[in-house]
Amino acid sequence: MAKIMIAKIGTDAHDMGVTVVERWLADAGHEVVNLGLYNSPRRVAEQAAKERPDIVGLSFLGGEPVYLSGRVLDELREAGLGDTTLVAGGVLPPEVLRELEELGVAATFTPGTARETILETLAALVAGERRNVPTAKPKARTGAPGG
Amino acid sequence: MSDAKTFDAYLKGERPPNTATNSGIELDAVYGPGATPLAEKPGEYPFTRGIHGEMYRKRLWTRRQQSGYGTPKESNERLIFLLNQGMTGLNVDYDVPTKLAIDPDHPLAEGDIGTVGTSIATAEDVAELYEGIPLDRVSSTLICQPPASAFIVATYVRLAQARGVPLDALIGTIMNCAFTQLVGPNYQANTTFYPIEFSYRIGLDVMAWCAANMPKWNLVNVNAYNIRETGVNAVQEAAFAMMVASQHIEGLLARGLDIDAFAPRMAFFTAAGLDFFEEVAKLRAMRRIWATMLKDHYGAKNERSCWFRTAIQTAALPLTAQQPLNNIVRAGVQTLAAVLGGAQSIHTTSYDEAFALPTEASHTLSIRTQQVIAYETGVTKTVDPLGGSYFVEELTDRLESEILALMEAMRADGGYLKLFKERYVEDAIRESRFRHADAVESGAHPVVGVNCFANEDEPPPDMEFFRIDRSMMDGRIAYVKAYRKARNAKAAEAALTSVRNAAGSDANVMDSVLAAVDAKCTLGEVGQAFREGIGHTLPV
Repeated sequence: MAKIMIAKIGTDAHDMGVTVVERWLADAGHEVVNLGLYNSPRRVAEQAAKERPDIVGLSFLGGEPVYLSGRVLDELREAGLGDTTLVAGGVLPPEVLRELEELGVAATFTPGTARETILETLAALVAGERRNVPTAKPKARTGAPGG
Repeated sequence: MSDAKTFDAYLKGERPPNTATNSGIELDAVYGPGATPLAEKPGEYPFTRGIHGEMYRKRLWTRRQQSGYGTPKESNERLIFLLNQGMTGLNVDYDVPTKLAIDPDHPLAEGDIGTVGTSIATAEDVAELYEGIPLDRVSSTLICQPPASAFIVATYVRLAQARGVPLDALIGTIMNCAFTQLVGPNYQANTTFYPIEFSYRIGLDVMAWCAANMPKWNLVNVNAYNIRETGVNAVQEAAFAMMVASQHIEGLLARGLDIDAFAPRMAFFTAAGLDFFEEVAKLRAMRRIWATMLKDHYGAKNERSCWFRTAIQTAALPLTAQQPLNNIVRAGVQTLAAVLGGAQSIHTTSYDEAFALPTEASHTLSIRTQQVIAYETGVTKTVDPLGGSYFVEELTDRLESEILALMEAMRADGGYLKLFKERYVEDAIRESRFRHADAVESGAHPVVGVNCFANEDEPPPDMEFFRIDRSMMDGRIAYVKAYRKARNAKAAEAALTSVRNAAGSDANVMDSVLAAVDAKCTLGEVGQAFREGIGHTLPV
């Protein structure tokens, strides 16, 4: 099991996704540190230095995800935590997903992603498959409900 | 389609996984004549069937798409574009730093400037935003909550005065709800930058000032939509919204205002979810509850005080990032529910909003959706066409009693502000979110393209998305710094001292905020002065 720190960055307070993911991670046995709303990139790095999580997860709806993720990575590097695995989730268009990957964000999750997909991806990252996990797609459930 | 289990499901008879509404009301197979046939007419108390006798036959709902992004100048261009497409009212959204009353150069604002609304810091910005738009001929909704709403109203008032438009001619709405406007009633979101009691009080200051000076202006709009979008159901949306409205009413009554001096200028903003009949019934029930509450509980004499007037936005929560074109169909159905529910204005959410802010093209499609319903379907040609349906009347009664029961329980437990502070609302939101997530995971709540009928290897959507330009953000930071340098520093400091003093006293802050606008203080400085006046510091 891993220690996972999750946070909303900047002023965007849409936290439905991060609230649900927090519970999914905790239910799966992970140790979750939720920094809640209104974190500056520096605060995330400070808390990461204190808590030493295996993974840091950022949640976005408003805000500029590429810029803010870059700022968090900068602050992590400055704090000597450049090898921290950063993942991101939220309302993210395809172009942003590509840019986040180029930036070094290890995995991204868009709305509708199944619980199992998130848990499997994070487990792979913790197991050492860092930086090379492709954008996690929702698990497709074809066919009629209950089918 | 090669899935054997799918064929099994079709053979067994494809059917919905349950027969309850989204809020959990179990439905009968068929409805017959109820105990009390509805004798009421539209335009008559308690207005179940609509607040006007002829509704859309005389006047269609306002097509009011929310918009705003980037600089005030860019937003002005989008507003003019939308007005030229047939939008008939403005609905200006601000970025989150503006709503929190922090300036673009505040450390927490750096990645959020102009991203989900337009960036406003100065009176000059507001003048630029409304360039070429007549304030007495186009109604404007200003999407901002207290305490920032005090500054936003003050700048709008000064712009009107500078143009020679009398305040009693201004038409529009300041959203101004301390409990719901930011992202709904989440606890941390609404208590970090200012204590909730302070935001509530400044909201009342703005309402009292508007009631005295801007007779045609709507002084508060309870944002039930944001309540709903946190994940709660239709019954909770309606009951929480009514209890929030009661909190505002009781605050104004305690200041000595007469109920009929302000209630006609209170309005709502509700969600149209996807459960079609439940949403129509919810709106009918909310009209009846509001009218009865205002007359019986608060003693309103003016019939207009009893009008439940509501703007509607089609709920974004059911929209999916998977198979995004499906969202066009969802929004169409939701828009129809809003129309059959008797909305005063509608924002149809765009199909690309599960990814980003709408583009010009998707924004236009939203307006066209409303125009097709308004001009081609004929549903506007008679009032409350679903009224008298055994099912709709019974569902309306049932929702009314469920909503009233929840309101009674909340009243008995001390009212909205107390329950908000005790985390009752927060707990309700969390429980709903977990329940909904579980239902989507298990498939009990079908979402087409996500937990059923999904595409195995769905390619990324071939759509253009709206992106924000970083140079715009840097430009806004440079702008606000230059604006502060170019003014009379002494006058600005004196004005901010008055704001601090007013915030720390019982006085209405509006006069001091108007003076601060005149002294070229920025929104962020006024917000900071508010915090200093009450001794509140930011934890960040």
